[in-house]
Amino acid sequence: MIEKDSWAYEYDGSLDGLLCCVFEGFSRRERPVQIFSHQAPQMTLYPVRQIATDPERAGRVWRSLDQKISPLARDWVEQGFLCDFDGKELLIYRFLELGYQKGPAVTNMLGNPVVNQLFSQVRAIGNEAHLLKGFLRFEERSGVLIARIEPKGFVLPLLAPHFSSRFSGEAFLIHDLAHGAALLHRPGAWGIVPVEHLELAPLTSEEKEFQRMWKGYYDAIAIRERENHRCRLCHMPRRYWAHITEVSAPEPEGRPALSSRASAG
Amino acid sequence: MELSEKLRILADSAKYDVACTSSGSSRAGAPGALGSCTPAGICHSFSADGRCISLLKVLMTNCCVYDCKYCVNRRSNDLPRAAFTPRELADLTIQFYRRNYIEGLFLSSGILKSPDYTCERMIETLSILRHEYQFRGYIHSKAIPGADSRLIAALGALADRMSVNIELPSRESLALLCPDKSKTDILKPMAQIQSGIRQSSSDLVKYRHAPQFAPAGQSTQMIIGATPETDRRILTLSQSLYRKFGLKRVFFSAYIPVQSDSLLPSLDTKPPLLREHRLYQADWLLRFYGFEAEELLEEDSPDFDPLLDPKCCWALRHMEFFPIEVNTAPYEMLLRVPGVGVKSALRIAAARRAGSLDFDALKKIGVVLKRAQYFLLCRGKTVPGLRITPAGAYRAMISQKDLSLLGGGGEQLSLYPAPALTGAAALPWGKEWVH
Repeated sequence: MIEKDSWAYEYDGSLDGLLCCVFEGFSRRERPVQIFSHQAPQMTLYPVRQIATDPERAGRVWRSLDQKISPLARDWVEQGFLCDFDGKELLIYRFLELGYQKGPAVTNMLGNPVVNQLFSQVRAIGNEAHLLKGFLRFEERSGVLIARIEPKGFVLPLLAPHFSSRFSGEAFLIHDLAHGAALLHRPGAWGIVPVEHLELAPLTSEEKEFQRMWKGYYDAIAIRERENHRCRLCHMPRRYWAHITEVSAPEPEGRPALSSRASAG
Repeated sequence: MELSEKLRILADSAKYDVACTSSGSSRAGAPGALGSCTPAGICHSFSADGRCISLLKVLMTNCCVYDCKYCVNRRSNDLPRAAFTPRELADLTIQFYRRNYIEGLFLSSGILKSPDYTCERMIETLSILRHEYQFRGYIHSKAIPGADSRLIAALGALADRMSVNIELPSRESLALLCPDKSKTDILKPMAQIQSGIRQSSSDLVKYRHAPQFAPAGQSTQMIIGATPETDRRILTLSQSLYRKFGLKRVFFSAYIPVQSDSLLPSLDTKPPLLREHRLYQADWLLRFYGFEAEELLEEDSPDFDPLLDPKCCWALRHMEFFPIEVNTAPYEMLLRVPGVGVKSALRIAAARRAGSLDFDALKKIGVVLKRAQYFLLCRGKTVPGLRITPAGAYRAMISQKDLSLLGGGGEQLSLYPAPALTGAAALPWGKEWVH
């Protein structure tokens, strides 16, 4: 591809918007050197082209991923876009340039720096979602199960199918504090909505009792002779602890502190 | 007794069971039902000993009529006893599951009154879960040795995975330490579960809705270090269990002294954690890497090298196979290279189809070059500037983490020459290998 001149693209921050950047770049035969969303505007030395989001164009690019590259590559684009790292838009763009050239083989080219970087990011967000399927904890507050998470990457779309299938009969809410959004579920329907702040009803004594029993179980199941904190931290890094019932600090309103953790068991 | 106290006692008594896996079953959620299973399993927490907590692992009761010497719940041990009612346990499981604390239930039991009675109470618990609550989460159930075969069959129809613990790695040790159990007691239910699984999987081919029997297979565990068996004996035993009984997993449990007895190691013995670790490494090599037990441990050196993992040990003893060319070597050979795991071998196989690989690419793919570089060529060349000597290779293979396990109480070990090199004597120390 011949580079005419260098442009920075500004889009609306949605996946459709990014797909329109791809449409624009390819139809103008130019290679953007920077892509950023106008939610996070950046200083740039390059001339900026505003890319309007057109669902029809985005749809054409989206379908081409499947047809001209592969369904796996489409999944990478979709999941790569959920990641939080800087420059994800340009990385996805570069990946697609390569993909349209090489076809389905592109996802095998793990030695290529662009492919490799996208692959690691996709793997990382997949791992984050997988870990949270385990580490996420619900608390029942006035009949609704409520969980709070602070994930790296916007994992709610990846968690939604799992939790709504598993708890299909429950009303639940998963609040992503890091991204200001929540997954809402009631039997038969779910959706992701922006939620900045959530007023929570206080915990009932019944709920506190379940938490106390679970903590008691957690302490009892450890074998003292095999204690290995480093191993635990490897598997369950500290950044998740604040929202994991059995290892988080007790709520201020006086849940009895389990000072005997080291000697229990 | 309060429920929370019961839970504490019965979890405490169950904690020496190793398995806490929730893998092997695939079952989507269903409208009106609670729960699902994912094939890979999910870990929900990790306890202070670093072990995964996936299932609510408890005993139905820790009262027991048996007096097995290594067991904390033996009749003669003075400890608080408790028992769940089936209803209590089923309700607790559901409430924990709803809060996403657990992936399901691991149910075992001491023998209350008789094996049959114990088994019936377990079946009752599982039926409440499966039928009343429509619970679709994971259930791992112990088969109680000595229970009627119809009861075992009923358990298998409710559980995802079943297990019978083989307890000790040889018949003689079993006779010595568990006078009430015999090898046939243990192997009989194991064979029954195996035939149940076979029957159900062949029925499923014919009828889509045929009843399932322990769809996640069966596992077992044995205690390491309470009795004098060699690693080779233990590993060949697990290999034959995989082959003869089609087990999914064999678990090892480093012996932790729970009482003093002239027949057992003394109370201040540290659990042989490093040995357990080596056995698990070898177990992985059997199941995923195409190794055989006899290859890993030869008759003249029947125990693992404390400093080297079994794969490195094998590779250093068989330098005649190496180095291999990354871009052309068969997948089976890639798997045998230290520093290359199943995932990176698969990635190499996929990536080299798209273009030839160099060491830089290997590193990106996830190969641990520190170990692998001694065994690999890329486009016919070794890593630039690498000088390959047996001593250097040996040093590079030693994991610092394992060393700390070996050292135990913070004692500094000299790295090289290393003490107690059981496997090292066989290494080609004299000659330099230059590729």
